[in-house]
Amino acid sequence: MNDKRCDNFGSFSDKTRRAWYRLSKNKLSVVGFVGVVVIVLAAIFAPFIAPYPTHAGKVVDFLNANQPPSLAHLCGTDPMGRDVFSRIIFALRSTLLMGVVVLSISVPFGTTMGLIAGYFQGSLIDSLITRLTDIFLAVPPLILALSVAALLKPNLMNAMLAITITWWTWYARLAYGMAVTLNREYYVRSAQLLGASWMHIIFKEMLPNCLSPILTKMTLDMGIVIMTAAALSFVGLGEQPPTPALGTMISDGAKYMPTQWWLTVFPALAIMIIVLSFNLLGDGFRDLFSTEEKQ
Amino acid sequence: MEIFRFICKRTLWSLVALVGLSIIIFTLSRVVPGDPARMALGPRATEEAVEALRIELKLDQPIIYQYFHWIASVLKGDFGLSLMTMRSVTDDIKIYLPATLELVIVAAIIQCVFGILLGVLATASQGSYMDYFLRIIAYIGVVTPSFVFAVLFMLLFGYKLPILPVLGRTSVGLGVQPITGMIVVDSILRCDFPVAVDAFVHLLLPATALAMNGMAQLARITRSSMIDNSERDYIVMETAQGLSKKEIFFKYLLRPSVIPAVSVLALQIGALFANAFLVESIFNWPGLSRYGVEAMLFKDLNAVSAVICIVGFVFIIANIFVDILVAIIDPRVRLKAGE
Repeated sequence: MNDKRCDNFGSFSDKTRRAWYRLSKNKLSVVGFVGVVVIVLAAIFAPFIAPYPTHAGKVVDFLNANQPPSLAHLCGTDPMGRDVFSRIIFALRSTLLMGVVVLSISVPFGTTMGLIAGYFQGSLIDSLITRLTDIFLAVPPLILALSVAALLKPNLMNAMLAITITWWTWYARLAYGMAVTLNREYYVRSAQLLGASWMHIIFKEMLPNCLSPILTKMTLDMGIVIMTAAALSFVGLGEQPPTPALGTMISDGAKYMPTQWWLTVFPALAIMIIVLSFNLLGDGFRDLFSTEEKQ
Repeated sequence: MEIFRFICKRTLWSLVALVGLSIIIFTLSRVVPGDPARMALGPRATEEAVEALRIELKLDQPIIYQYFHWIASVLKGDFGLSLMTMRSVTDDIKIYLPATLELVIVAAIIQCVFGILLGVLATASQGSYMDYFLRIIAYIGVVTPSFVFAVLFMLLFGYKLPILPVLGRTSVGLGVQPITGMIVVDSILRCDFPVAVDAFVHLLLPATALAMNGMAQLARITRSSMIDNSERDYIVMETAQGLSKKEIFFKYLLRPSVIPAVSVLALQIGALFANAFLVESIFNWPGLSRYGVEAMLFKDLNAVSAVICIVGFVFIIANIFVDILVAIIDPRVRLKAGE
């Protein structure tokens, strides 16, 4: 991937092992890593892990409605008699999907825009892209995402679209800043003198050297995207019932509040644990990359 | 003076960006499927009534004409008719904006004071159990969305430990003739202190729920920048010269260390407004953000555009305010701008 840095000798598996060794020196990063793996596995194998897999859909079981947490129902049941724990496990799917889709569209797009603007610094295309990002940064991202999602039809796709529209600008900013500094590097200059095309310089020379900060920001952002997605589904703009979403579960549960506290508290805890895991892992990556740069 | 030229230039560009944003929002709101006039009047209205409203709202005109008509009236301070309340959006905003401003200002004060304080406390007790405890608290604060805090606070203080009021701006029956619309300020101006106390107590929970995120972030930023700065040469020199620890800490270490915290403040004020959208609904706080969410869900386009414009405008003002604040605290910024 990046053969210009001197600390990257050895095969890919060697490099991974070395990176893992450094990461594992920080216990909190390991906790984050394990948390992320568990969450991802739980989301993938949700039908096998959830004790009542059918409860993710339209099921009514009034006999078991409003049960407090017990061994049979770890997080209690809702007014429809559905198992809250199973619904949380299934809600992980849309939550993670949201983060993955939003980032996998907004990061490449934003990074490319930022690199192009930075490479052609001072040109018309630079000011066009910079002004465009300014427009999207003129209001707080959550408000823009809320209004875009509200104007469109409320569903998971449009919620993803709304968050993606607001998210790419941050990566454009980040990549722009890095591209401006990289412009002065000798290897970029020499590639220019050798007649390399701008496409080659941006994607083959600059991009590999921007990857580590971008990957770190991605891991940290995963948590923030998930929080934003939960906020959207909290007001009803996201995955529509009966499919479970963490934000919707919290807002529905809040109506039954003091007595049936488990309806709110457990989905809330789930959000906190997901975001915490990604943040711990992201912090670990940041330390990892910053020590790499110091060496 | 250079710093003011810099701020003016930035403000101008922000205004341009805001115009750009208004074009995007406007286009988006006019191309979405669904007829706003039909939605406002409901399915039972006659075709003639819908057509009349459509003409009144200028929905029958081309979109470019609609946009210029809209922007012209916005510049005159008229945001059009709200389809949700059937009143002028400007009048609605005059009622709701002060409540949100009051909430956001109190939240901003809480998060600055306690965030920086906790950061300082963690640095001062670096490595001790206190430090670990504060770091865990800060971590929880960062990873919990503020609407979750709001719901949990409701549960905790509203029902389990009822010491603080959880709904509305004042107790039933209490109120004050508005001057600014911010009840605490108004009641103090009118020397009605029981109402001021009552309104302030009502502010505490929503404002704290709103402030938690930013507070935790500020605590973390302050702690890490204080620890970075404490290894700087000038601190080492001052220690060598025998200045007391206290003096170094508060006089020389704190000031440069709060700069990173202050510079993220503008973004955080934006986040406060954004999160107020959810927190206000939970605490039944009759503010602009709750109005905004309701308008969004109702697809009340004039109200949504107005709320976005107002928030964008407040965001610009917050940015100017923070730029000036940083210039006051950090002489290096003034020097750099003067070059």
